[in-house]
Amino acid sequence: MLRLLLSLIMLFLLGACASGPGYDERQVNLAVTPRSAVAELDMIRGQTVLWGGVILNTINMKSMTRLEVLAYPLDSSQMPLRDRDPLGRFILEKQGFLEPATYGEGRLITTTATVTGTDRGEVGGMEYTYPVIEAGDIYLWPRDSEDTNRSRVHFGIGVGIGL
Amino acid sequence: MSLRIRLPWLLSTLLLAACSNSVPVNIRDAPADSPSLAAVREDPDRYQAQELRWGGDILVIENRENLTELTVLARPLSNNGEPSATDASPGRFIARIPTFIDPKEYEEGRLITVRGTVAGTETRKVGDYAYAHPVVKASDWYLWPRPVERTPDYYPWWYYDPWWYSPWYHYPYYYPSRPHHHHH
Repeated sequence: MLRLLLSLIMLFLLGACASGPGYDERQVNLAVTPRSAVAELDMIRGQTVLWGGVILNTINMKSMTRLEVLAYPLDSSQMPLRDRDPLGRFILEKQGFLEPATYGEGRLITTTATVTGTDRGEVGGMEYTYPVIEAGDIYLWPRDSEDTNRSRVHFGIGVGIGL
Repeated sequence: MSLRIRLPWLLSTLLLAACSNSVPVNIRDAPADSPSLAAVREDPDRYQAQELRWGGDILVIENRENLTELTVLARPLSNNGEPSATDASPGRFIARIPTFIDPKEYEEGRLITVRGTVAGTETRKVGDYAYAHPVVKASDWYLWPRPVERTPDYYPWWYYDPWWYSPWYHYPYYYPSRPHHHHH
């Protein structure tokens, strides 16, 4: 019984660390970023990219959902690194309905998607050209994954003096 | 009797003690055959007037003339009916509460569990998407308390000196200047 309990706890702990979408990177063009995609669109249209970042805006349309995402470099578990310099914005289109209360502003996602085109929008009064990608799969990072996914080891040395 | 048997008992007693607060019995115990949200959305007619227990995050609250409508993002419920803190959701539903409830109390983001009967579906727009919300005519509802915000511990508990506040802390050992009396 105790052994079962222990193994359950171990499983739980393991589950808390080794998370991530684990997308296969072999069929993915890893060189292209949202910023470079706009310039070389004709060359990369139809290719698969692996991008991730923080959701800025969610728009539910009649038969699909559009996410505006600010991209960041991904770490080895394919999680966006928000403390690095961003790689530009992109529009992620997903057929059907994505719950905006779940896929909402501030949440981290990673996706494998196909480059389909560009779209124009406005950011702070300036015209902005977004690469548009069509999502195959979207991985939503749990809210606390930025804390739990990085192994942070703290060592504390305490000295107490009683006077 | 060894620890082997006692530990799980102890744990479950502790857990039970943590659960058994003021949750109404109609919320704590699900009706038999409470249908899933997915099932009702697929075939609302089949489940018309059937009793259920659903819960989740409050997304919208609207006070009408004699009732209040809550749009709830459903979550999987634990055994005692509490919505779990997960991103997994079977979708939205509308809970029709037959009275006025205060929007300042039933705020967006709070967790609620309702018991009631299926009253068809209602299509409402989420953005431009026409979303068919199952409607629940609520008979019982329970607003879960806000999670207790813990102030962050700067150091773990074992960092602190348990004797710091002890009145003898400054005394008993290594007090070299205390005068010694020798009795012969």
